[in-house]
Amino acid sequence: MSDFDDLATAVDDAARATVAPPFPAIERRARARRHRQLAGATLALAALLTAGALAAPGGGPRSMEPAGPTPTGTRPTEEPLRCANGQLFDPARPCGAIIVPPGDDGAEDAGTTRCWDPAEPGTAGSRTIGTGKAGRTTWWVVAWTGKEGTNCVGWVSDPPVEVSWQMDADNDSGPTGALKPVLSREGIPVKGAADWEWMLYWGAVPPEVVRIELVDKGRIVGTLKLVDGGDRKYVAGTVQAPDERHGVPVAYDAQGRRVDIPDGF
Amino acid sequence: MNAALAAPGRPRAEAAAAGVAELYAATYARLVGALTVATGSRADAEEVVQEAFARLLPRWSTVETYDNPEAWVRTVAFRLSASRWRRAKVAARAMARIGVAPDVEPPDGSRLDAERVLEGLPRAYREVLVLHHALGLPLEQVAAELRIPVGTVKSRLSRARAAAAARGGDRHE
Repeated sequence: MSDFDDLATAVDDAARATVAPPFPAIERRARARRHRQLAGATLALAALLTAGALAAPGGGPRSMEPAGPTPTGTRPTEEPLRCANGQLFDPARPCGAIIVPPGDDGAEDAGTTRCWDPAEPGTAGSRTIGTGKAGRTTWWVVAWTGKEGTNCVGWVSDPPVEVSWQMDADNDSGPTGALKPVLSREGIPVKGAADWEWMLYWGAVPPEVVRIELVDKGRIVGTLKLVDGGDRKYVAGTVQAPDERHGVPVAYDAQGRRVDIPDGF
Repeated sequence: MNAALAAPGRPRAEAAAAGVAELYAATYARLVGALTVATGSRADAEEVVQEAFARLLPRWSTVETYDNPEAWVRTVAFRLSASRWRRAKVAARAMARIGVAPDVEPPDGSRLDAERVLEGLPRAYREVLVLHHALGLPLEQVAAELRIPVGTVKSRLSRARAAAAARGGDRHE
């Protein structure tokens, strides 16, 4: 145990050697982060609105409002979205930040999750942002920015995109990892899922694959969820044993035979 | 209308900045110390702790009501660190695939003491060791901060001790 006693000393030593930058630097960083979020959400949603219009049967723009239940039967939301000022959200009258109702994903402050309306004055792009529900849910329009502005995401959910995630503790950057829209060959978002493992296990696999296990030293430590993308299958990245994130993915077909999958897919 | 809405927000923002600044002054070094030992990199530790404080600013009105706001910052910092590590892992794999050798950082003197204990241990083990043994957090709190079951914390600690003991034996031979 003496080695572990040394750990506390090591932490103390490292702390003593630390010089904190002036606090205004942190404030500047926070402001820059907010600006990136706004800009990222605007760009991502505008791009995807364009893509959605192009992919629509018959082309042309379409409504952002859900016409009915999704193919999975999920209603878009049980609670109305409200603007940050408390008014009910009206797509025709953008109001800036939107409060997303609390979800069921265990995030302690899910109720304060916000997405920003790209139609907010001063930003370019789209006219509306749709409805959604925090947690494991179906979004109709999702607009998030990822960390450091590199993982800008957001998509028009027609057909809807089912997104399950594990949020950061800060709970404002949406799914962690590199959440990307999964598109079918026709460019239509595919129902999928995303979470911490999305970045590590993401992509298309041969259609005969029915199961992927994560194997570590001969032991199965998790399984990956597959979603059907029509002509292809996609790995959703949901690891059923989330505390065991390591392991080599091994794919099987319906007969239990191993199937080669792209390295790192 | 906008001006009317903005006016009450400014005192709140100033109060938040004051509250976060106080927490920052009191805990920054300690947090960086813990993250440095857990991650093995002072630069990474400083980066994620600063980012965690930046994320705290707009949430201060909520977090200040928690029993331990420092724990919130620490949790965010650890998760940011884990996320960065995963990205780096993916990037390294991609670089290897295209035949580019990744950059190797020179030794960081600040990590040497800790490395003697933690060297070669998986990141998950290092995290629980630092939180439990260095910071003295109870198992339940370690589990809560890392969002893993208590049983997983125990098993990681057990495996980490075994690995460290095996290496210790090697060193003393």
